Amino acid sequence: MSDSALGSRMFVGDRFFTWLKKPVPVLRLELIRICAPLAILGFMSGRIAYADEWLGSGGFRVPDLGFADPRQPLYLPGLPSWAAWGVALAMVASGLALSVGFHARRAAWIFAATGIWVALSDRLAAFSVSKLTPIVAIALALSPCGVRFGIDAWRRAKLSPKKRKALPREVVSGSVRFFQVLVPIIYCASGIAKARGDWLHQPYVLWTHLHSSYQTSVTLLLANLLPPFAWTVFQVMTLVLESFAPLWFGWSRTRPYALLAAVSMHAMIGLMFGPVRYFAMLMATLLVASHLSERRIEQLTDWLAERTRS
Amino acid sequence: MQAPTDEADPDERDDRDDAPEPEPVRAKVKPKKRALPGSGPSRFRGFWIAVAGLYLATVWLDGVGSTWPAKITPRPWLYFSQVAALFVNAAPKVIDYRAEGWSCSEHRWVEIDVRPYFRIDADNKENRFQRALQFYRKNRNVMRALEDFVVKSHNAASGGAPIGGVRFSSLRLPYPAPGEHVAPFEQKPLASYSADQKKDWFWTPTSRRTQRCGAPQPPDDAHDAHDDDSDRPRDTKDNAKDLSRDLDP
Repeated sequence: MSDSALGSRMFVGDRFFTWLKKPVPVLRLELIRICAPLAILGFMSGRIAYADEWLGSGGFRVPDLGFADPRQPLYLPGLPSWAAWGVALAMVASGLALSVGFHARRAAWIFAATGIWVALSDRLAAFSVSKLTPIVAIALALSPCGVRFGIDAWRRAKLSPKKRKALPREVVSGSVRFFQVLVPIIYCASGIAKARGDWLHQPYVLWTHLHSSYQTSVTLLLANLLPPFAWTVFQVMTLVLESFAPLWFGWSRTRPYALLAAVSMHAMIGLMFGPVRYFAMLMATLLVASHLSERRIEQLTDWLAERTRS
Repeated sequence: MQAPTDEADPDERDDRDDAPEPEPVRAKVKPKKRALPGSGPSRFRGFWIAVAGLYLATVWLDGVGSTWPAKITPRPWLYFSQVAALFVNAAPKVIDYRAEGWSCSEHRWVEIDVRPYFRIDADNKENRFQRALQFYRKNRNVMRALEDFVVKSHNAASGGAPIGGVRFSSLRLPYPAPGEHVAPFEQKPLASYSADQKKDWFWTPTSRRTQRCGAPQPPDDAHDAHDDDSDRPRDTKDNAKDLSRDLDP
């Protein structure tokens, strides 16, 4: 019996668990493990440099407002200076350890814990990247990340040539499935929110966001170079891509085009809105790792295996 | 839960193809297959699947504007789920928040640069001072805490030119129409903007300025009429919309 014939006779729940347990290329997981912490640490670097202002009592802190205020989900007091620097250091060390695959899963738990603390501690310096940090880190901690292309994998291979041959090309990981679903969910919700906002009746929404302190030289160049209708075209393309993202990313025929469009969109966001570049990098990482075609992932795996010997 | 299948997996099929004449005894022995990482049993797998599903549902529902997540989930859970729905509205103006200090010696408001006391992202609107005003300009407790912090920081750093209070305001600047020339964003001195572009949100009352300066201070003409509640942030309709939900990039 073929897979499709079998699939049509399975209950939805069985199909879901079959999909969940189906092996996926290990590189999908390892790309996120390597690149996501770097994007997050890039975002945090400007904050980490002033850890005492950020997490400690050396800077302004919003007072405890109680649970009545939705902007302060949980009040965390400012830390003493040494502790603020300790949290910042733990975040950097665990993020780097995760990225290079050194005790990756343990590092991911520490990275998640520090991510939760910093996102809650200073609401004023918390953005989408801050909120996604513990989510990405917990998903990595629950996965078999670090089995390839990292220090641990390299050490195992060095100790035993037999084990090098046995380095896996595939893993079973619900975390990869989570990332594959997370990105279209975020896009879809954003697309619907935009449609409910100004995006369907204001043709120059993008144009209105080009003038603040987010500006870069690319923003100025394109704002003065492109005709006004181009911003409306970008707006329509973004809205269509995001609103129907589950369809574009769920259907294998449209997936490569959706991936190209989404990565291009994030590249433009990163180039045109300076402080948002790390968010763009994180999203591009999740996109490429989750939705690049199997063939490309296999090619990339071979290429990396050859060069890293792991 | 794995669905039964009557198809052999590729590894097994390859082994059978390689064997020239399958012997009855060997055919019964299944080739040993190495388990893939992550394929082992886990006691908490069901729990984490449920958590992941709940998180994805919260992200989507909150993003599309449903009030359900806010009603039924704990605030920290909702907070970490608010990652979608950025830039959903057109920006009506370019907003820039500014601070002035009450000069005890000159008896007038003078613009002060607060960036040395808010060093993270000092030059853009992700700066913590900008965010404090964006989020909490209507919250008296936060504005008073901000006032204390700015006055103390400024007086500690200024070296002999103390301020007795602060005035926080926003600049609402128009941007060019589509197709017109776009100039680089720059922060000009507050005095170079017209009065209708500036909106005061919070200012220290005369009584507190007098107390801090240690000598009687003249009332502030612009805000004298309602000086009793002058540190109560003004409430207007134009900021009600963005207070409803965090929209962080």
